[in-house]
Amino acid sequence: MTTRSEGVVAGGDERRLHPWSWLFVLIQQLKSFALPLLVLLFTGRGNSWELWGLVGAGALVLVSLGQYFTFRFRVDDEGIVIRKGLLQKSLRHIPFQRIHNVALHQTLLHRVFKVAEVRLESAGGMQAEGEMRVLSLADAHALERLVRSHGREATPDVSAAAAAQESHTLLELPTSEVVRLGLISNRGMLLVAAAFGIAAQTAGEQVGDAIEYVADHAVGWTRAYELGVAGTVLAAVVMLVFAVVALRLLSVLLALLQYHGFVLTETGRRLSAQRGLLTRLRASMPRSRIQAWSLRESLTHRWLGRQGLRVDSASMETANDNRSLRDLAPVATPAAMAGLIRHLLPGHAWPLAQWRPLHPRAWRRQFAFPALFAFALTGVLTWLNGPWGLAALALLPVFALRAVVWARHAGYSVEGGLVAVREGWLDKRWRFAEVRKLQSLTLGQSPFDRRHGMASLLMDTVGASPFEPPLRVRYLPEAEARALRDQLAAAMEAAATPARTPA
Amino acid sequence: MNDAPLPSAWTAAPEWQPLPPRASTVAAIVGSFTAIPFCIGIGVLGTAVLDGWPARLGAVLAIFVLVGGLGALVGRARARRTHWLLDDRGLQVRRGLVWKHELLVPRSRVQHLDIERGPIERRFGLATLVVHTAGTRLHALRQPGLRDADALALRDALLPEADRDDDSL
Repeated sequence: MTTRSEGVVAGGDERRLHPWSWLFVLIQQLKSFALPLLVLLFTGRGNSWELWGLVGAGALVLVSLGQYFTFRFRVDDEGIVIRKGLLQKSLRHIPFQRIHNVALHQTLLHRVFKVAEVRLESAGGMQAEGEMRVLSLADAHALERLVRSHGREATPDVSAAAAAQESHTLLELPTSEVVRLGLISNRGMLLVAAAFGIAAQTAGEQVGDAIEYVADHAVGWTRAYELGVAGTVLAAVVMLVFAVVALRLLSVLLALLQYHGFVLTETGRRLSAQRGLLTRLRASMPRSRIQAWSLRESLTHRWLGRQGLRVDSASMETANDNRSLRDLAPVATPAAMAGLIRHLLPGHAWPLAQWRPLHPRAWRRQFAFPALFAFALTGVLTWLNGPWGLAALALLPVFALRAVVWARHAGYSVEGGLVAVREGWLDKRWRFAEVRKLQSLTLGQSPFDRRHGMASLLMDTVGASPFEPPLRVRYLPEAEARALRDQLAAAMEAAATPARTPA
Repeated sequence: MNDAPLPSAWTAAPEWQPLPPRASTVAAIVGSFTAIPFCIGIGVLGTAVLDGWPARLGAVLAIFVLVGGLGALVGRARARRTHWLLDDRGLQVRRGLVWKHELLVPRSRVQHLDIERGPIERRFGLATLVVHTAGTRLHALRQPGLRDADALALRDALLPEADRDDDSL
């Protein structure tokens, strides 16, 4: 193994991928074909197509062998040079400084062969800059080390290099924490929903029949045992509790699969995290590439005394990919989280102290639409069911409470080069970014905003995840929104020149 | 075409600049195009439901006048409300009829710039300026209806300096 690892060094010879690499390319290609093929096989709709499937698989073997024999890479002083292609040849030079993320991916099969898939990501690209499927684990680690040591822009002197090699753990999740993460996240629900979706797609009627069958039996069972109203309600509650518990158990199982052995380490200026029970993932990126942060504290988070932290990085792909370093700290106590944020944002205080409130009437804006919905619902229900429909009016105080709690928690803060927004009532979120990372500012006014003399300010960042709320302050008094815009614009210009935050 | 002031007029004392009047004309023409899909829809529906060509043509024409007219009015109003401002901070654009927006792209965040000229804009001596940023939601600020000279001057004024350190990425 050690002889192989010596291969990946700066100025070394041109190298091929791992000899088993064709197998993994083949598997990856088969995966995209396998599912439709299996569906065809099992539904028996494509008798003549099976043969074509075999022909296709044969062609794929040839393609993957071809990819193995034509892929070569070389490491020189400035970056990695990848040469590939049989007919359409391509030569790609990736400078070390542009590599944001080195992602290692190891499924169970990879681990049997002691290899890993390596992906090099740079900013803004929709696709990975370079993808090496697969390298031996030693080679992969050597490559990772190379990128890490070259990623620093400072002139490499001996002490800096020594400091860079010294890594320390920022966050480690023991199994108990991963179990908590599973309880908090509702991954099980997503999985069940996806399974239902697939089942409905492939065998629509059978699923419907099965549900009907179960429902019929449940009703028949309550009748047979003459449970009465109270008994039926009790049975329904028991069923519901059972379903919730089962889903949470499934979530815990999934969390264990994905996050077992999560370790976040810092080596010099690079952060790297590894996790996974069967499939091991390892991702790394320079700390300065973090664009925006989002801290979340849902109701279950609060019950268990935990918070979750995610970050946006500059590559577009990361938003919908699970192997990047998005989940910086999946679960941690608020104190540990604050410590981590303070450590990663040197010179910034967290938690922020100077939160400023929104417009005094902000709660009315949050209340108006739910209230209209409640009235509409009441109208419809009363029309359908008579006076009983008026019970829907009971939603109004709930919505009012929600709006008031929301407005009391909501706020924004600009402190020490950091801009932060917080929102939410049961599910609280903090979204923040360094002012120097902002890209543009948009002051927006809807007709409702204008009536209340409010405005919203949207701060755009690079690679903002579509799954997180935008970095936006809503329901600000108009003058305050303008003042904030001007303040941020000035700070953005001033912040563009100074050097990066010291490591 | 005689309403083109010298580009230096707005760089000296920054103030909100309206689009030229002919931009409203172009916006109205472009706005009236929204009627085209409706016309096709009514045309297809008309051949099935209505008898005789005069009725069908009449229906298409009526829809064109109605929807196209509305689109033209909205387009014109939108162009008239649009203002832009270049100051030492960067480019600002104020636009929107019902949902109003003021966009600000600081100079230091401009990635690259495009100037586009469609056939109609070309005829009226106008251009569309596209300011690309590295951002996500506002990855490109696209402003049609600028005077050709203004668009060029804006592009030159906003061109990123070659030695800029892309620290924000």
